[in-house]
Amino acid sequence: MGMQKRNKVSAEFSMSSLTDIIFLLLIFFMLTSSLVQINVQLPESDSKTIAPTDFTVMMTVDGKTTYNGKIAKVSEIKSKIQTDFSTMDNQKNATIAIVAEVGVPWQKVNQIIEISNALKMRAIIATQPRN
Amino acid sequence: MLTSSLIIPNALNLKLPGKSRVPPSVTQKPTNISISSSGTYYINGKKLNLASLDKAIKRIKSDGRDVSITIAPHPKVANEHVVAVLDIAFRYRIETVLTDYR
Repeated sequence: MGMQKRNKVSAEFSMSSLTDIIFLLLIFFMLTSSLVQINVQLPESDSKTIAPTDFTVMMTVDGKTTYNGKIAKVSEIKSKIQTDFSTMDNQKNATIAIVAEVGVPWQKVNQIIEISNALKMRAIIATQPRN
Repeated sequence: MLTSSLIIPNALNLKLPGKSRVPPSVTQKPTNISISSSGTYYINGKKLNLASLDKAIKRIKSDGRDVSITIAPHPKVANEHVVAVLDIAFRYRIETVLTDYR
């Protein structure tokens, strides 16, 4: 007999296809996350602080306000933040990010600052680096 | 993937009085900078442009250690003017207090 009978089933499997899929997923998420861009002009600042945020309030010149990505009325935002704040874990470091487009009147930003102040949360103003 | 959307790449950190337990110490009379609705800056009533404002704030910083400035923006002024002043104060590490426009 030339060939010997092999009863042993090989227990190994090749990982190469798994890594291919992982890389595809990675690239997919990298691209889609960069597509959710804030295509608005933000006020310029030299500040390079990178700040993690819990809540994002975005205001554009056309008068639209969004809270965590969803359109909301300014009157609703206060109660929304209060509700979300009361249910969050790390209340001590809670941060509101104010993303205000160039041209948005200061009183709108001030409103959010006051909400943040009342809840004893941190507030940061999002800016873009100078050209 | 998850955290990239949660991080704001450039931000100005606001020190809010509600947050800290220690009230801001003001030993000297703070310099008042007011911003009109059109974005013109006034220090103690004197009109300035942004470059002179920068120099003036730098001079304030070199005057003393416990310096603070108050910024009184007109509610209808575009926010980038206020952010510009906040940015200067941040750069020179001066405490700022936001007050109402008078």
